[in-house]
This record gives sequence, structure tokens and C-alpha cells, in this order.
Amino acid sequence: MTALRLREVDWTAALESAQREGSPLLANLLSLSALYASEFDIARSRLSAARRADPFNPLHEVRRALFFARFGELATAVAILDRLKDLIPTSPLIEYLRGLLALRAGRAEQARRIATELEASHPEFLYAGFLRAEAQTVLATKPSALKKHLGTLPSGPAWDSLWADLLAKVALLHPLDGPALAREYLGKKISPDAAMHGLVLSAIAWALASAEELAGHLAKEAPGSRGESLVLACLVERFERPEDTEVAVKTIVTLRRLHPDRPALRRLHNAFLTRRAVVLASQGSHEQALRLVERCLSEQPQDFIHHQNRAALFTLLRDQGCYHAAWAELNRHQYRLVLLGACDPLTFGQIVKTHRLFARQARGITSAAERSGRGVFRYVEGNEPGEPGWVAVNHDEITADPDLLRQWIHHGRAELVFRHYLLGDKPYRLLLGPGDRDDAHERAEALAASAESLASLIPEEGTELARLLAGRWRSAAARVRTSYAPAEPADDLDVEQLKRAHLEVFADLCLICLQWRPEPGELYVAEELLEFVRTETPFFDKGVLDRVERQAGYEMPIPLRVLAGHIKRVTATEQGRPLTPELRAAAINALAASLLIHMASSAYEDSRLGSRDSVNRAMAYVDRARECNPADPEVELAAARFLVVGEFFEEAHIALERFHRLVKRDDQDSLLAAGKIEEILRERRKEGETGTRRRRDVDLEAPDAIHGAGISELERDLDRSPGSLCLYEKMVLELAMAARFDEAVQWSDRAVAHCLSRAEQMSARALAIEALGIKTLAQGNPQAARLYAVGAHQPARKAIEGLSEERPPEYSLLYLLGRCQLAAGAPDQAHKSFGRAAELCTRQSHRTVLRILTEDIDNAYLAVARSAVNTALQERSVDEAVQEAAAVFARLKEPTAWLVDFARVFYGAALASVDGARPTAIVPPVPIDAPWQEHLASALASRSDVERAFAIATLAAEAHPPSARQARALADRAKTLKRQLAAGEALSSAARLLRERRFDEMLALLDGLESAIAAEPRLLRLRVLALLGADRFDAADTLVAQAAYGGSGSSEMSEVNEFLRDYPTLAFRQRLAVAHRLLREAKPEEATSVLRGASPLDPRNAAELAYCRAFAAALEGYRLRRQGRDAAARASLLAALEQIEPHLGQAEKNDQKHITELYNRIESEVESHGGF
Amino acid sequence: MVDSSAGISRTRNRPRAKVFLRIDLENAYARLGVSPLASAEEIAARITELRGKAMKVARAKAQRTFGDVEEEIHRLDQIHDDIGDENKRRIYDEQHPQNILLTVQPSLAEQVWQRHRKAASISEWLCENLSEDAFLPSLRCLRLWNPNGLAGELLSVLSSFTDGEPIAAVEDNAHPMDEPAIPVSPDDLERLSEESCQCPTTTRS
Repeated sequence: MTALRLREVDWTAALESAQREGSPLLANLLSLSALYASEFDIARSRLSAARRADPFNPLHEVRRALFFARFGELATAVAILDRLKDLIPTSPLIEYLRGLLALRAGRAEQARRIATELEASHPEFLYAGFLRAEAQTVLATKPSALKKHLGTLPSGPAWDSLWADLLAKVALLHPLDGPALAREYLGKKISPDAAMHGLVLSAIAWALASAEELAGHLAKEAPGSRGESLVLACLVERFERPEDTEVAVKTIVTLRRLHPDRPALRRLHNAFLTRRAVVLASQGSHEQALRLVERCLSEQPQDFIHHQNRAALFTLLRDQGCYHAAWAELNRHQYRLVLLGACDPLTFGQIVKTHRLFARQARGITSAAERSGRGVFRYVEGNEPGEPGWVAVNHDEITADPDLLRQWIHHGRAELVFRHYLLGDKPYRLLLGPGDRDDAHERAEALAASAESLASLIPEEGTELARLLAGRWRSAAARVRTSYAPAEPADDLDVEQLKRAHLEVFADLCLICLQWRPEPGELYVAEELLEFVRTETPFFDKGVLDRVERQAGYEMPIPLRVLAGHIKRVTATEQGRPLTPELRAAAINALAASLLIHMASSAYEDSRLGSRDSVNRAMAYVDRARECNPADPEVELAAARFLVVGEFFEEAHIALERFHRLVKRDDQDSLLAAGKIEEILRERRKEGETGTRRRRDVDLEAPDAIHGAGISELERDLDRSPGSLCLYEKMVLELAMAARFDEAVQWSDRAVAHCLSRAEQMSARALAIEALGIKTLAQGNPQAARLYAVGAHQPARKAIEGLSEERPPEYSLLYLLGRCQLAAGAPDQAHKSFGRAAELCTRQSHRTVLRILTEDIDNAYLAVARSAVNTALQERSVDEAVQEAAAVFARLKEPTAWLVDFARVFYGAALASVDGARPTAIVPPVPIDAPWQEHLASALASRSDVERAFAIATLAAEAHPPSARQARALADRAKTLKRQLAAGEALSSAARLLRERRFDEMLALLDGLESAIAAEPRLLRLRVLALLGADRFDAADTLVAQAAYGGSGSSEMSEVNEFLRDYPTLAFRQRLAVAHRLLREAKPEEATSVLRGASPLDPRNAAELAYCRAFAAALEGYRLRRQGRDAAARASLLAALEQIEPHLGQAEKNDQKHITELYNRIESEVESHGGF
Repeated sequence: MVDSSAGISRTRNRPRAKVFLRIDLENAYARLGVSPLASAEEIAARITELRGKAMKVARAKAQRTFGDVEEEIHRLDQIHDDIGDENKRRIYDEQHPQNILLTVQPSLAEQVWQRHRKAASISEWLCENLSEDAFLPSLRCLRLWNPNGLAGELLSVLSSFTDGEPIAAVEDNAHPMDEPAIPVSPDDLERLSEESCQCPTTTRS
């Protein structure tokens, strides 16, 4: 066809040229270039541009179809071809491509049918026969059946490639009998000289090869090539039986060792490991299966199936902590895929399934048969036998586990969001047929708000994805046009199903709003629920409810019946009648108002606050309920109740007046309740009480809002590191500061479950006692509890002491008291408190901690003292830290244990003074009576902090064996720091001398350093620079060679490594620069000497070196000529020419004119003085 | 409707319910004794096999155990109603996603070894190894992208874009020690030779 290799064409330049010149070939070039474009997006945009430029040419559509099919978007490709088929029904090519795509999509029967029809309708189109034969080859179980298909196909050089394709497939897809058949036809149909002949023979050889032989074939194929892929596919066939899996894994492991550069082998290995995991999981060996899956995941984290398998296995293992994390990881991976552009229905379908799984499980009852599930809803049996049952909100389950309701909310919203995405691009469709553009915008905003649940589920990726999707919804809404008729067919099944899903969710929300009475600690969940109601509102369609009600033979689920009843009650509209916008809003707002009134009651019952504060909080919810539903007498009645309790009598009167205006006269219960409130108000008035006015600025979030962000952050961190004790400690304190004491206790219990090393377990248990203590303290004095969490122990101490006088203290309170006493530097008192706590404690796990504390109070106090000193050091108040540390000795029973910490304080002080901004720490007198007292005094008398640290650490190592290891390590660190400080000082001086180009002084300075310091890598580098600066090239080369030989694997040497890498270039340039300088000083011999060791790194530098050498020789020649030594001069000049000659071509190419100029000048000099 | 700005806007993280995901041991696949990943053909074959066995038992024991057989056939009918055909199975799997999600599945890499994908790989392999003008059932085949062949005019246009542009030279980074030297120029030669030589110039004519 063409000898031109189109892969080598510079397509960008060709397109730019065609565009510039306005070439008529532009469209053709654009669409053809898509075959060679390196990126999908570029190719797609070129194809679109071609369509725009030449809209009536079907060639561009054919290319688009091939392009999309090539990148796996087979559905899009088929849709394009279907459109083309309508336009050009007689084209055999379109049919051929449809058949080919069917074959590639795994629909071989369809492909065979298309090919057969094509052969009948276009007998001259002989390619169809090959397509049919290929489809048959894929379908056939035995290749002998293929003979009749092969016999009818044309042969000759024009068909060689198609025959090669077919015979390779016969051989490789039917490895038992196929190779013989392929060999038989190969001789008949393809010329032995043709290139494809050899390829078919290779395919036959692969098909017949044993596993060992295939290993040999693999070595001949390039990594990542199709050949490699086919050889490995043949290898897989050798291990098809389940019992071969073990052998397969061993073989592949051996191959991986032989070919570490082949990712395909890694994939193959993981595939077999996963096969093994499937078998193990089916046998119930979940732990072993999990090990294999984890291994695959570590090697192929991009494969979502490993994430899914991992999550499934943790679920099957019933591992509470890990299973949530594993599912979250799967979601995170799925979101990342979408963010990276995997927006195909398969990926979205997987995401929908995962969220649906959690949403449905949290909901509880998914069918009438399933009545015992633990979920948000529960099934209530009828009162009488035979009486139908009922579905109700499962209060107990939600109270025990508020996250169950949140699981339903967030996974439910996420499922709906992704289902919308699956509906495609058409705005009218994906927004479920909005009435007009306003409606579309409202739905788009609701979807954008729903997408925020993704951020709740997976913080970082979810936020990004929510943003991406929100943009999509909004842009879709902007494209909606107001229309009097539906823009999409009414029987769109997918749209109808999603509408129904929204309706079912709304019915569930209705049931919850009407029935659920959230506990005080669940108000945040209720807020999330209200947000869910808000985002579902635009999708509520009474028409769908009516259709469901009318559906024949269908028993409407109970929540839907409740919703229908609610709408009828609020709007008085019969079934089948549409709702006006006002009535629709009233029905929905009534739901929200109902939940808000329940929330008000809950806020009032919150025992953490005083009565009037409680009323204020409750009224804030009532006010919101009023906004939602201003015509609801129940809301006004509730308001009147709260206002009376809060002694806001005036407002209570007003609320009652509103109530009477709104209430129906036959609502006797409400009227009776209102009468009682009025009675109370009358009595109070008689007593002369006028009441007070309500504060309107109640902050619903107080006091925990301030800490909300920090807690969320910690929750995220703990998601990632569930075994981190310090995160749990922070979390407990943050929650306590936010007055969320119950949650603090729950988190401390999680710490006990997750931190399993012995030391961490003890600390976690101590944290659990502390959390319990804070909670108990909060019941008597919330302020003191919060202050304790902030770190102010004194108020807590007083409060606990006060409480202890009122009633017998609990062990957790005594523990808290002990902690306060330790913080105040009173370990003796703390010892007593812990002892009493241990006596009172009945929980074995807590008693262990208390007993340990009692047995060794010094240890507990040391930890507190350490923390206090560290805090002081972190705040850079070194002197304060030293003072505090010095005082600790006197409070300890065994003060020797503190020595190492005391040394650490001085080490910290030395570190703080590295920049030289701080003088040496002031040491207070240390009141101590110990045998090592004098040693300590002499250590403290040292002149620098680092020396003190070293001396005290050495003393600690000798005096206190339990801390000897730490002390020795600290002494080593102090020693190193001392050396580093000295090196730093030397570095600073040497660098100054280098800047001032005082190389000899610099070398003298470096020579005077201790050998250990002088060996410091950065000082070595400076020494090399100094040597180069002093023109001592050989010495510099030797030093660099030694440094390179000495090894430089450590990270601290990276700077030096870089220097060593650059050194040859640097040294060469420096030599050249010096040579030029010497030549300018007319010292050719010295210049030649300097250049003797120069080694150029590239041809350009080689030419420059030759130039310098030639210049030196020429200078010498000129000098000799001047001296009348003509023969010697001529020899020098000829030597100069010889130097340059090999580099002339390079010099001309690189435009190094001075080199050619020098050559010409010397040459003319030689020629003009030919006689000398 | 509720104004969210009036309410508490708290950011919460992923819910972690204490209740585990329920594993439904009575799902249609478990009742049939097949994997949720089994193909439609496998499921149909299994139902047929069990139905055949039940009928055989019924025929052998006549009326005496007919009740049991009827129950068994009813059970199989129910399973067929749930997962017996592609469409029903799709709906069932949508309603019960846990069956598939909680099954350990083979790697996605296995898909490459499916017959139709392997066939596609063979065409791509030949496409890699043969010249561009070879006709192959490959989506990259130039002959399919140009079913009418490449026009001579197009070829002549493309021929002028086959040579690559020269690569721009990249300058080395200057090193702190690498001061720019003032290079000696050929013009300096005469002057320098004069300086280096104390004796007066001896010009030859």
C-alpha cells in the first residue's frame, strides 16, 4: 500500500502546516493522526475537529468507531457504527466492523451471524469469510470442525496476512489439535518466503511447547510486547487444572527471578495467587486467603479486585476494626479511579453496588421475609394472630449505634449520586425530567449537596469527586430547556427505576421524621438526616407515588403507605391528584418540622446544661420548625411548653395565641394541653412573676463546635493509623474539651482494643480510666472536666476533692485526682490516691493499671515530669526546663532514675543553642543527697550544655543500670553533636575563606581539624574546592577518588554524592580556565602541564581541550620562531595543527569558530614560512 | 424547606456501625450450591441437573415421596425465578449486592486469557510484527483506517514530515566554582608570543 512508515511522521507539524496553509487534506489528516496520537484526549479532539471540518465524510466516523473500540469503549463504537449503518446501509465495511467489534466484545456468535449475512449479501467482499472463520475458531471446541470454514477462503499474497492471523489463532486457541491443522494449511496457503510464515511457525511452536520451553521462548520476546503476552497465555494453559496452581506459582516465581524487568510476570504471579485465595476462601481458610490477597495488593495496588477481596475477607473474618477500614480503602480506590478518568459504567456500577450494600444493610428490613435484621427499621408483629405487621424506626438500635443511621444516610446518598451519573450525559435524563430550568437547577444543587456524603465517606478523594460531580450536574442543569412536552420517552426504564429509588428513600425519611426521637447525643445525626430530607425534596414526585399505588398486584411497602398517608393528612389531596407546589412544600416541611420538634425535646433533656440554657437550645430548634411549617399548631404548642419552663412568659402567651389561631376545634388533646399551660401562666401571674426575655443568640454547636474540626481531623488520622496510641490520647482530650464525654469513653475503649503491645495496652487502659474519670467529673462539674482536658489540673483537683466530701468517690475519679497530684509535683499524694482507687476498682483490666501505679509511683511521676520538661523545651524556655528538671530529684524515691532525663534536658538545651542565638543554660542548685552528688556537680560545671549532657549521661550509664542503654545512646548522641558543632563552625569559617578565595588559609584551617571532624563529607567537599582553587588538581583528584572509594551510601552524603558526580566536569572546566589564564600569562609549558590530567566528557569539550593544547604548542612555536629556531618552531606548529585536526569537523558543527580560526592561522603561518 | 445554614453544619467522617454486614446464607446461589460468579450456563445446567434428579426420585418412588419432590421442584422454580435468566439475575444481584461483593474473586488479569481477548491479542501481535500495510482484523490496522487506500497527495504531504527536528542543545548548569574563564583568542597568539620572548621580533621576508 505504502512504503511510508506513518508511525514516523511528525503529525503535529503536519497538522500545523495543513492548518496554516488551509489544506483541503486537513480533515483527513486530523482523523488519521488519531491512530498515532500518544494521548486519548488529543486523539479524540482531533477526530472531533475532523468531523467539524468535513461533516459529511463517513470515513471520519469509521475512524472514530475504530478509535473508541481500540480504547475499550465498545458501546460507543457500536453506537457510531449503528448510526452509519442507517446512513449507508449498503456498505459491507460497516457490517464487517460491526462483526469485528462483536467478536472483540466476546459475542462470537453474533459476529459469525453478521459475517455469514455479509457473505450472502456481498459475495465479492471476501474479508467476511475470514471474519466468519475467526468467529468459528473462537467458538469451536475442536479445530477439526474448522476445516470446512478454512477450505472456502481465498489464498495468494494479498491474503497472506489474514491467513497468518487465522492460522496463529487456530494454533494458539486450540493447543491440542490446532497446531497440526495450522501447519497443514501454512504450507498450502502462505509462501515460505513471506514474513508471516515465520510468525505462524512461532505461534505453532508456542502452542506445542512445554512449560520449560515456554520459559525459553519468553526470553526472546520483548518485555511488554504482545508476543510476551501470548507466550504467558500459553503458559497459563499448562496450569489450567486447580491442582496445578501450586506448581504454577513455583514456576512463575522462578521466571520472575530470571526476568525481574517483566511486569507481565508480576501480574501473572498475582493472578495465580488470587486463584489460590479463591480456593482457600471457598474452603473457609480466610486468614490464609487474606495473606495472599494482601500480597497481591502490595504488588498491584491498582487492581480494585484485590481491594474488594480484602474487604470481603475481613468481613468474613468478622474483624470489626479492619473491616471498616478495608471497605473504606475500596471506596477510596474506586473514587481515585473515577478522578483519574475511569468514568465507565462498569466502574460506576461497582461503586453503586458497594454503597448499596452498606445502605441496604443499615436500613435493616429489605423485604417482608427479612424481619429479624438489625437496622434502622424493625418489623413489628401485628397485635392479633393474622393481623398484618408494621415497620417502625428501631430506636434501640439507633441509640446503641448512631452510626447505623449515618451509614444508611451517607451510603444511601452516595448510591443515588452515582446512579444519576450512570444515566449518561443528557441533562433531561440525568436530572430525571425536570419541569423547567429552575427545577433542573434545584435538582442539580440537591445532587451537589448529596455528593458531599462522598466527602464524609472518604475525606480527601470524596471531596474532590464531589466537586467534580457538582460541576457536572450544574453544567447539565444549564443545558436544560423549558419544554411543554417530556424531552425523553416516558418508558425510559432506567429513569423510572431511579425515580422510584428516590421515592422509596423519601418514604423512609418520612417514617424516620415522624417516628424518631433522637437522644441528646444523636442531634448531629438528626441534622444530617434533615440535610438528606432537604436534598431529596427536589426529587419527590407525587406522580411516581400514584403510579406505585396503582400498580396492579403489588403490595405497597409500609414506608410508602406512611408517606401516602402523611401527604393525604397534610394536604387533603386524594390519590391520583397532583399536588400544587405550595401543598408539596407543606407536606415536606411538615416532616422536617416534626423531626425538629423531636430534636427540641431532646436538646431540652440534655442534662449537661442548666434549665434555662436547655430551654434556649430547645427553642432554637422550635424556631427552625416554625420556619419550616409556620401553620402547625403542634409546633406552637411545643414552643409554649418550653417557654413556660424557661419562664419566658410573654413569649409563651404569644405562642399560645398562635396555637389557638391554627388549631382545629376538634383537636381536643391539643386544646386540653394548651389549657393546662394557660393555667400555669395564670398562676404565675397571680404570684407576681413576670418572667424574662429569651436570648436569641444561642449557639447550637457550643461548646463542641470549636473542637469539631480537630476531632474530624483526628478521626481521619485514626482511620489511617488505627493502632496509634498518641492519636487516641489526643482524641479523648479533644472530645472531653468539646464536652462529648461519652464519645471520649468510647474512643478510649477503641484504644484498648487496638493498641496491643504490652506498654501500649497499659497506657490505653490508663486512658480508659482517665476518660471514665473525666466523664464522672463532668456529671458533677462539667467546667472542671473540660479544663482538665485542656491541661488545667488545679480546678479538677479541687472539684474532685469537693465531690469526695459529698459522696464516696469512684475509682476513676480517684485516678483523675492522682493524675492532678502528679501534675502538681506531689507523687506521694498521688500514690495514696492511686492506692485508694485500686482498692475501689472492680474492673480487672483497670485494677492492673492502678496496681502498677501504686507499686511504682516514681515511674508514673517520671512520665509526668518528662512531659512537663519536654513541653518547656518545646516552647524554647530552656532555663525553665532546667529549673523544673532540677527540682524533680528531690521528689523521687530513687533519684538516680532521673539522671538520664536530666542529661536529656541539657542535650535539648544544646540543640536549642545550635544557631548560637542562646547562651548556655543557667543551672540552679540541685538539692540531692546521693553518692554521685559530686560527679553531678562536676558535670554541671562544664562550660557548654553539650558537655554537661555528655557528662551527666555518662554518669547515668554508670549509676543507674536500668537506664544505662538509654544513657549510653544519649552520651553517643551528645558526642556526635559536639563533633557536629565543631564541624559546623569549621564549615562556616571555611566557606567564608572560599568566598574570599583565600585557598591556602582555608586548607590550613581544614588541616588543623581533628581527623574525625575533617572527614565530615561537606568539609571534604570544601577541601576539594580549595585544592582546585589553589590549582592543586592532582591532589583534588586523589581526594575525590578516595571519597568515591570510601562509599557514600548514606543519605547524609547525598550532597557529596552529587558533588562527586559533577566533579569531572567541574575539574575539567577549572583546568581549562587555569590553562587559559596561564596562556594569557604566556606560560605555555605550565598550561600544557595543567592540561595533562584533563579528560573531556563530550566532543565539544574535547575540541576545547585540543584548542588549548594547540594554542600552547603554537605559542611555543611562535616563540621558537622569534628565537630563530625554525626547525623546532615548525615542529611545534605542526604539533599544534595535529592537535586540532581531529576536532575540526566537530568544531564546525558546534560553531566553535575560534578553533577553525586558530587552525587556519597556524596553517597559513606554516605555509607562509614554508622555508623556515 | 429546612435551611441548612440555620442548622448545625458539622463535618463527620465515615460511619462505622457496630453491626456487621449480614452474610445471607440463604441466598439463591447458596441454595443452588453454585458460586455467585458462576456463568448463566452453569446455573442453568445445575438447575436442570437437580430437577432431573428430583424427577428421577419421584419416578422411582412413585406417590410415596411425591410431596418431597414437589417441594424440591418448587424450590428450584423459586431459584430459577431469582437467577434463572440474565435479566432476573441482574435484578436479583442489584437487590442483593452482598452475594457478589462478599465472594473472593479472581484477578482481573484473568480476563486477558479469555478466548476472544486472546484472539484480539494475536491480531495485535501480528500488527506489531508485520508492516503497516498488512491487512489484519486489528483495530489499529491502517487498512481499516484507510479502507480506500492513502491518496498520493496525502502521502506526498506526509513525506515531508518524516524527519525529526534537531534537538536543542542544553547548557550545563554553572557551578559556583566554575568561573567563566576569559579564553585566549587566536588574535592573542602574536602578542603573547612577543611577551613570552624577550628577544626582538625576527620577521622573515
